[in-house]
Amino acid sequence: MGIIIDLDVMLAKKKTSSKELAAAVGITPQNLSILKTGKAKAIRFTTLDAICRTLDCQPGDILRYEADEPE
Amino acid sequence: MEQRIQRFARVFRAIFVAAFVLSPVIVATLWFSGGEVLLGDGGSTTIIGLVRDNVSLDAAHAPAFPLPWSQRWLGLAVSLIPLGPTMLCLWWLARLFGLFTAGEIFTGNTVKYIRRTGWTMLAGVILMPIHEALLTLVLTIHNPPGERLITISLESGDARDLLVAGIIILVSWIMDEGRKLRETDELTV
Repeated sequence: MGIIIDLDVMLAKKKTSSKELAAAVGITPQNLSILKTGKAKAIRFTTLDAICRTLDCQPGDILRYEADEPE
Repeated sequence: MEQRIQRFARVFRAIFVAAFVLSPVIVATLWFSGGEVLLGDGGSTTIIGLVRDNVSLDAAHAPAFPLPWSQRWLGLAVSLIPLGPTMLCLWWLARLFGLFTAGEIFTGNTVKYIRRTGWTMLAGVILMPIHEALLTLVLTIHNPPGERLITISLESGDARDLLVAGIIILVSWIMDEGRKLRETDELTV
């Protein structure tokens, strides 16, 4: 899938730890790890909303599309 | 709900394991006892009686009991044709219900065992006419020339088993869709 999660970059920019973000958003650190490592199959609008509110950013700051390289 | 599934699964697993162990013992006992088993009520039943659904053998062609040892061994070998798929089905089901007992319901493993059960059962149905043909041959092999038989027939039971096998395969596909949904749900943040 060509959706890249840039959550690590935003966390570094906002000087926030994963643990703090997970607590603020109300998800488990394990689920946040799934999101950060790109293993997630979907993200709820409520989660995205909470992340954007906590990090004071836009969804586009976290999610980006990159075309798959042809085989 | 999950606890209820686990409770029932434990019972079913025990039944399938018992059936897996007992089915070859019963079949072997029947053949080694000469093809005739005495019943508790004073009567007796024969191998023909027990497999009547699969063997179309009239009284005129029926062998004399007890059967000679060569016939018993041949009979046992022929009985392995339906016994193999049956035991394999029981084994898959025991594994499947073992997973249910452990709380695994919509996983790749459960889907695998349901699918294997369906296909093994289907193979068993396909092998059934071969079993019947060979069994009638074995049971009439010592008859005088002209009275030896090979019969092939399709019974309503075969159609029923075919339908059940098809349903199980269909259920495995449905379970696979359930597994995909569960995995998606698990990986939704």
